[in-house]
Amino acid sequence: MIDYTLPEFLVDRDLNRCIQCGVCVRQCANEVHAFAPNDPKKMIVDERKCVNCQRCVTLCPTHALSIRKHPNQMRESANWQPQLIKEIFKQADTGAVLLSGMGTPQPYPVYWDKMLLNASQVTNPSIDPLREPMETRTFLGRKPERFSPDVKNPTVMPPQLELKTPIMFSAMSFGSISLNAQKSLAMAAQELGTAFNCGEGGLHQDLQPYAKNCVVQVASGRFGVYKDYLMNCAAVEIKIGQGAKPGIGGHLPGEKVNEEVSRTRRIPQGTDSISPAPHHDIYSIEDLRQLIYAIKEATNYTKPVFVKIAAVHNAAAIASGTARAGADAIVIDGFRGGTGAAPTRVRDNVGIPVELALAVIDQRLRDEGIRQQVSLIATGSIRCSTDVVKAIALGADAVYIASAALISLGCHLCRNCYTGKCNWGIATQREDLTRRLNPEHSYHRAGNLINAWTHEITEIMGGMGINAVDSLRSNRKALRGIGLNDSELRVLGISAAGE
Amino acid sequence: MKKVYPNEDWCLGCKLCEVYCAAAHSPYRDVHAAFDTPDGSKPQAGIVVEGDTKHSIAISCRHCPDAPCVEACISGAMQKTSDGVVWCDTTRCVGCMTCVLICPYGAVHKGEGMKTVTKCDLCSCTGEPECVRHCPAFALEYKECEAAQASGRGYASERAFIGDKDSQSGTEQVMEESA
Amino acid sequence: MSLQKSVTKTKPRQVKYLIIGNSAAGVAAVESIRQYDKTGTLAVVSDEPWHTYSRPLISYLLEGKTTQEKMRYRGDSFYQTYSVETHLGVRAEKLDTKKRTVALSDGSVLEYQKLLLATGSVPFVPPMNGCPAPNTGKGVYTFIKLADALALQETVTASTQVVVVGGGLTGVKATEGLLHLTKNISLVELAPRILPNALDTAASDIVKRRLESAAVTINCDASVSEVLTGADGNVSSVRLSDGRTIPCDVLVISIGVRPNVELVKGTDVAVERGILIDESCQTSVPDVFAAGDCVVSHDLTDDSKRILAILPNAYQQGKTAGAVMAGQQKTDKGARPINATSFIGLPLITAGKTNLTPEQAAEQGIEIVVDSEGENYRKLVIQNDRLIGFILLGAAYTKRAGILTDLLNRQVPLSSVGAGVLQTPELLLFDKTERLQRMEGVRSI
Repeated sequence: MIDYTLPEFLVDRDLNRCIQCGVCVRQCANEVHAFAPNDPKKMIVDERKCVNCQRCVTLCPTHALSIRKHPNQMRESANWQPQLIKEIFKQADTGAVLLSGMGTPQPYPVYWDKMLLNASQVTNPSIDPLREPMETRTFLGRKPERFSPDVKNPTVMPPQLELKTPIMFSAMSFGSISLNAQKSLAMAAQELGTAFNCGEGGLHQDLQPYAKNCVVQVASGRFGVYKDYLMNCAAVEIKIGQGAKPGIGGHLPGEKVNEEVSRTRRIPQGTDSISPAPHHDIYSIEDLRQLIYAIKEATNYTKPVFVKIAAVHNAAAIASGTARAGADAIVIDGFRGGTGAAPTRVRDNVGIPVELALAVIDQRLRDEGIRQQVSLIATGSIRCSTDVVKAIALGADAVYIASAALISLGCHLCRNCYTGKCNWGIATQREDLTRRLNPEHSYHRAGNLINAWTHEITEIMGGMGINAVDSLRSNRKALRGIGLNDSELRVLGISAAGE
Repeated sequence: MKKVYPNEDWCLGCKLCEVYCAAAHSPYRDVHAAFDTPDGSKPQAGIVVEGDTKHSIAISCRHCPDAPCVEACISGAMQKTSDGVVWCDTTRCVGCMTCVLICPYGAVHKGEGMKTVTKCDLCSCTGEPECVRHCPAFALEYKECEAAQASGRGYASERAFIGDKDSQSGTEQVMEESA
Repeated sequence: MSLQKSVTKTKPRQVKYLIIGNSAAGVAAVESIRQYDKTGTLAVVSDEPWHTYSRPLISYLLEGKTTQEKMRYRGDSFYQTYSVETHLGVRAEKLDTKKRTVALSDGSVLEYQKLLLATGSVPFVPPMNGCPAPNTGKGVYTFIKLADALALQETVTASTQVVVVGGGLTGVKATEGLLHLTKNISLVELAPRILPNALDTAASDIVKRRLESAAVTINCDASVSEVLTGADGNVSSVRLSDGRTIPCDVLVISIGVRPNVELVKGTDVAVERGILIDESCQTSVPDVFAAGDCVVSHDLTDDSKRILAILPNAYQQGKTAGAVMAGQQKTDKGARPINATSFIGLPLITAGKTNLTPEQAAEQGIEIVVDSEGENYRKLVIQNDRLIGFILLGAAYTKRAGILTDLLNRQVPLSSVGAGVLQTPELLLFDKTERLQRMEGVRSI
């Protein structure tokens, strides 16, 4: 039988440097490296198994390893790109839907990179954040329409989620990532005064001490939802859709529902854990309102309720309805967002960029005069502090980050999360692999990242003469488009650079 | 005293500690240079990883208060500094293996084709031991032992009067001349 | 270097601690006494003129693996550091336990409060027809002290014909050392194999082949029946019990050692084959202690009394004696025979009971497990689920042998330790709680 698999990567071993210590052999869960049988001085490599996660490269004590694109070239065709051909080989082998991990690698435009920020010169003074106070605190939740000066009948403030910095860790369930990875983010969130999101798989008992910093999800499968889950959290998030796979549900096969997963998801061991594509009790905005208020009732109106939707074509109308349905915040997940596993074709072709969805939603809510009823949270590939600043200027109250957080923990974006063999101990449940991520040490890395970004945000805001993220929100004048056509500029609600 | 404590719950069994230890105790101090020997022999580490990647632990010298290896050493090469560090003066070691025979931790090693033994000396010349510095899993800690202190088994009190520090060791003399 | 004090003949010089002997047991006692008593006067007497040196290293000296400088058992400043008054090159001639004095060969007398006899051993020289007295320049040598090695180093040249009598550990190590001086060496051993006490036949054969490949002629089941001398009175050849005659310029006698009990003869100190001591290393006379090769030790292997002339045992006894002399409570329960060495690069480790015939083993319910691979040989002796002895030969099997020694010393039930610990000694095979305890405070989640 012919094996049609073509190696994607070339594993280069500098034999002059290699000392045959075998660290690469012991560290590669994909079993790329091995000692030759009966000769511990000879190393062999099976490149077809390499996913280019860089674990061996990073740990090799003599830097003898490097991984690069395999030089093998197929006959060129602008239409029949090698990747498509390889995928056809794969599907011809397996007959299965193609699966992928993390965000789409396809070369779609990234609008963050086509927007430039403003700065103060002469006529409005810039602020030095080292000398003057800068406010990065954000409150997520419905704001009252008007202030009542009547002390006997004061303004009732709906529940708010207070964040010391407008950056949260996005939903990643125990199952899609390891408990150690979740715990790292939980510890970091607690220390930073922000929130993490436990995803739809419930909150593991080991993370109960961090519940006050946890946004808990209620998804279509309702896994792990019970009274204490809702009562102890920072906020509740109803997950309607995910940017990487809008309209698609999830399926955790029964064999992966072990004791820990069973206890956390509150389902019997060994049963299939199916998250349906839709919530079967939500077919309208009115139905959504019922669930939102059911949760508010259950939590005695003490928790803000978020609704997370994927950025799709009519996102603005959906957001308007969601706001009217009583959501305290709307999470908009752009199509470049990550995932543990998604059908490749869906990930790469369904949905719209978060920048565009965020801009139109913010504008629509303003036009309808209901912007103050909801906070907006942007997510789906926020990669750096300027992405955060631009998101806020486009109307976001805060952002969620996930891929960036995982990268801070060691993820090298090999995009093989769905194989469960993550060499960095993140997207895996294999005990020998999860041990590679020690929360006690790695949470500092996630914390450092957020602190660094927050620092950069204050620097950039100071340069613009703005001393609070509140003053930056929806401040489209702070942005100018570059290399964008008129339609794009109109959707984003910004002027072209130079205008 | 500070020692290297392994944590088997986090040990990955990658054996990087062995690699860096061996390099640190070679004449070169560089991993590549240390292993790039003309005869293909490998430098010996003073730390050894037991087990596989599923369950492993890195064992190195415990620097025992009444170190059996020091007491049994036939040449006087195995010594204890005033700080409690057990080390082997390889210029005096004849490789007789008595320390290998006597160490209950199996923490003294004679490398393939080597004439003297190798053991953990806490990298006394570099500050933090190399194994600890390079452990990717934080499974090795260089710290004071709470348990030993709690149980009153402080090393300083136990053997404050240890040993004649050989002139070659350069360590401080601990005893003042008596009248 | 030494703090040798001038002494007068009329009045005994008073010292609190007096140690006769300057090797392992004596040094251990010095270190031990000074742990508890930093100021009490302490004197060491030795008939050898040298700074303390390691006796077992004399073969390594011949081999060139060490030098007279490097084979010092403790560093140059040892006597200063520990405030030791040294009387080196001076023999202790007479002990008076009533007056608590020791008369020295230089005419001085030392009066002690506590005395340690660490006089070591003397070579055993059997009567051999026509044999000139050893160490008298007639070509007959013993092999126990530095002076012996230095004399051999001076005498033996590449053309010298050497006969080593005695195929025990010392004899074989002497042979190995001498190989660096001459290739003409014959080894004569009375038993059917070399290293008869330490090794069984199989292991002995492996060592024998190593030695033979280095051109040593080995004569087992043989003894020297006559030593022939030339006109100058020097040894010229030896006749073996089987009638063969071997040319011989240098005859090295290393049949064994006996406790050196010369000094206590005629005193109240009880002596059998060696000086008798109790668990605190005290002899039958109060305040007189003894340690090392000169005493009868308690062999824990079979609960017997015997001479255990091995350095680690000497150190332990010296340490105990020193502590007790300094007023501490300390006991030495005994020791097990252990040996580690190497023969031309082939490492050997033995401990406990190793020599048993299959019949003896069967009779006593002893299990013997043997593995071998090339020059690597391993024999484990197990009784009642406990390891009671082992022979490890070769680099593959000697790795981390101390873990086995520990199993033997503590008589750990082997069923309580993970299988395979005897094949691959690892702490991972011990119970986790015990392992954490032993590693002292290893954190567990």
